[in-house]
Order: sequence, then C-alpha cells, then structure tokens
Amino acid sequence: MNKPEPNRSGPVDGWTAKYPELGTDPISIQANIDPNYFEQEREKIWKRSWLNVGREEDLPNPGDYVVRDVEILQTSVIIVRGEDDVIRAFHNVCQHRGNRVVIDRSGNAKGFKCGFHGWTYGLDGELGYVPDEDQFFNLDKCKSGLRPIATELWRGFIFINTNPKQNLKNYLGEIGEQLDPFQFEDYQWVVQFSVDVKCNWKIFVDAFQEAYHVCELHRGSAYEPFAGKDNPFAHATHMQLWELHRMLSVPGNPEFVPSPSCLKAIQYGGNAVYTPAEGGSDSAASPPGTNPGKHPNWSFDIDVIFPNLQLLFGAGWYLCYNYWPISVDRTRWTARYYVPPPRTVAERIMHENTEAQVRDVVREDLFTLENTQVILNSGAITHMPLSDQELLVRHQYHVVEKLVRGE
Amino acid sequence: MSELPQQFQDLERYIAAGWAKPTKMERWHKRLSCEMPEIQEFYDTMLERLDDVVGHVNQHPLDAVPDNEQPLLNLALSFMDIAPAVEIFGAPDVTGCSYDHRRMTVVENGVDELVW
Ligand code: FES
Ligand SMILES: [Fe+2]
Repeated sequence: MNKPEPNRSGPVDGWTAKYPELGTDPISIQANIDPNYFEQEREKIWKRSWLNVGREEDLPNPGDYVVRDVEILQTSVIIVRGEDDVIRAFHNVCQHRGNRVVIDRSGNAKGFKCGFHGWTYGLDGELGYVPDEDQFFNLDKCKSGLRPIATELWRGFIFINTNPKQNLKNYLGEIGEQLDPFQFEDYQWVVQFSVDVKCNWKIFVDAFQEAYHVCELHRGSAYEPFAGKDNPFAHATHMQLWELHRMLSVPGNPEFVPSPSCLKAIQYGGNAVYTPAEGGSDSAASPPGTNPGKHPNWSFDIDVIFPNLQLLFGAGWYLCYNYWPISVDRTRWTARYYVPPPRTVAERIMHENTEAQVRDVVREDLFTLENTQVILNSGAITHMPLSDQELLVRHQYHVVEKLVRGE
Repeated sequence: MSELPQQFQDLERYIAAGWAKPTKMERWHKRLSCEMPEIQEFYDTMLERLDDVVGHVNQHPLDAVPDNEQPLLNLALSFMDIAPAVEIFGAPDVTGCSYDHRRMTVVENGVDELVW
C-alpha cells in the first residue's frame, strides 16, 4: 500500500497567510503548564489590561455594589454605582490596617463601614468617619480613601484596569468600532452558567475560538446547524486579527433541518439559537456589527476582547463569556445568555429551548478542558500543530508571548 | 382535585410527577434524575399538546399568567429543557463527553442571586 504523501504545504491562500508574522510553526504548550510563566502573565498582562467585570445594568441604582475576589489581581474589588451615577471600582481594603471592608457579595449601600474599627467610606471611596479620630497622629483623611482602580465603560460593559497605559477606547481599537453598532441595550440576560475548571485560561479560551471541533466533539449536538454539503468541516467564513483582539464568523448550514422542539421554538418566537433565520441562513439576518464578511451562510460570530471577555453574536441572541484565572491550571468562567426581553409567553418558551441547547453543548466543551490540561502536564507533547482554522488559537499564544516578553 | 383548566386535565399526571418545576435549575435536575422511558413519554405527549398549551397560556401577558396556569407554562418550559435528551443524546444527560453537572451553577435572572 502506498503511503499518502504528507501534506507539508497547507493552505497557501488561507487566513493564516494574511498574517505572515504569526508563521505556521507548531506552538509551544509551555505557556499552559509553567507556573513561572503564569506569574509573568499576571504581572505583564492581567495587572495591565482592561478586564470586563460585568455590565452597567448589573448595578441599576445609586448605591448598588458588587464585590469580586479577583485572584489574578491578588485583590478583592468593590464595583459601585455612586450617587452621581458614576460606576467606580476600589480595592476592597481598609486604609487603616488592611481589613476587608465589604464582606457581602452584593447589595445596596449609602457607604462602606469597615467592621474592624469602624472607618467609614463614601460610595466615591472617600474616608468619611474615623471613630476617636483625635487619637491618630497626622492622619490625612483626604489621602486615606479606598484605593481606586481605573474604571471605564464601553457599550455598557464595565472594565477595570489596575495599571492602565491607555484608555479603554484606544485599548479596544478597531474591534470596539466594529461592534459599536450592535444594540446591546436591547438585550437582557436570562441565564448564567458558571464553572470552576482545572485548566489554564488560554486552553479555556481556545475551546471557544475555533469551529474545527464541532464536527467531532459536537457531532451529535451541534454539527448540522453549521456544517453541510458545501462546508463539511464548518470552515470559518471570516477571520480578523488585531494587535490584541480577534474574531471569526462561524458558518451556517442552509440545509439544516431543525429538530421538532426547535421548530416549535421558531414557530413561537422567530429566531432560536443555532437555527437559521426564516428561509435559511441569511446574512440579512445578521445584526449590525456582526458578520463583517457579509457571508450569505452566516450563523454566529466569536469576538475575543483580550484577555478575559468573549462575545458570541447570533441572530436574536448574544453570549458573554468571562475568564478569571486562579492559577496556572485553574480558571473560573461564567457564560451569560442575552436575548431581547421576551414580550409574550410564547417567546419565553422559545428562549428555554435555546438555553437548554447552549447549556448542553457547553458541557461538551467543558469536558475536554481538564483532560487536556492534565495530559499536557505529562510532557508527552511539547508543541501543538495548528491548522488554518485555528488561527485565533495561534494568535492568542503570540499575543501572550509578546506581552510576557515585554514587547 | 385539579387546578388546571378543564381541557388540560390529561396533563395533570405530569405535574404530579414533578415536571412543572418553577426554576431552570429544578427543571434541569428533574431531567437528569429521570430514566429515558419517562422522558420519552413526557416528550411525546407534550410535543402533541404543546400548541394547545402555548396557545392557551399565551393569551395572558407574560407577567400576568394566573397561578393555576403557571404549572402549564412550566410544563412547556420543561419540554424545551428535556428536548435535547430525546432529540440529540438519547439519554437524560449529555453523553460520551459530559462534565459533571453538579459542578455547573445555573443562575436565573430575577430568580437567583447573581454569583460570579
Ligand atoms: S482595619 Fe478597617 S477600621 Fe481598622
Ligand atoms: Fe464547542
């Protein structure tokens, strides 16, 4: 039997060829298993990047606050809407002797009182009341407010940065402009899934930034909506890389026949996730800001805003993923599903169909993560070969490596 | 004695069997706690009756579904939740490559406190 000729060339006119600086070599897996590398990422990436910590409607009223323990920043963060409606973030650390000021995870407050000696801070972080103040020496209350963390908003998304080198708008750059027309304000979250997974944060992001895996991992659950006769491996219809951020468009299969429950959902509410708009997949159904390639067989977009925010946009829904590294091999993740608020009972039922599908498919994705991490630790592979369809995976390692090296 | 409207008395047994739970988490856990024959039987009946159920409950505004019809709405929601078990997996849970469901927290807007 003749051995098949090894494929050494690969697609010469593919997506990867548009970004020659990334090369085509296999990528080292060291960045996913080395604790020292993780510490470098903490200092050079996470402590200097804009990180998404929720949306402004999570804090609808003045005094509304949430407290987030952010392990990768080695701090606890208070995010609060002030009396002046401005959303601010502070280290949740008392300026007296460093006690944690706010113990509750969320709530509404007029100010924050430390439970140790009773120092009290305003919603703007200023130190107000110090019990028995006269006993202190040269205490400058104006300089003893809660330590602020830079906070900026983009399209309702709250971002924080412990050491910003540029403002959020410049940090987002073109991906921000591209997504700007999307009507985020017309959507509201209905359900959030959260997990704590024993894998590196980059392996986690990788699982959701290529469509190569749908034909195998999701062969039963989410293959036919995307891959069909014309595009049997669900090749992306579009890819774009920027300095830090990246996106791709996942194809729709115009021949896809929805399941009976899905057909009911469409009958009751119009769009359902993974289902083509009426009359088959149609670029006309892609919301403003999505499907930049204007491909006729469009299903959804995956946009990665480096390092911790990933947005998936379909017709009538979007998903918001947030990644929070805890250690080199542990990451917390939340996925929130957003839809236009249902106007009728029928639309409410329609959404339940899509939520169940998303949840089940995501659990297939989650399964690979810990298996990958634990086996990478074996050292049995040192590099991973990446296809043209995995360009976003390749990009992530290049971006991280550049930042870790301080370039 | 049934609380359901007269024409839906035949669905009463599903309410008794726990298929009309009020939250997403409970509906999902109900699915995971059942064997396929029971899920399949519920699916077959509901697929047939769904248009009637939805048509009926849909006469009310979303925020004003009467108490006695709320279980009817929950049955329809449960149908959507269990559909992948029948249509995709042929098993109550995701098959082959599942991630232990107890490790995933489901938070429903307006029902649960937001966790992070
Ligand atoms: S540590 Fe907060 S008041 Fe003393
Ligand atoms: Fe997937």
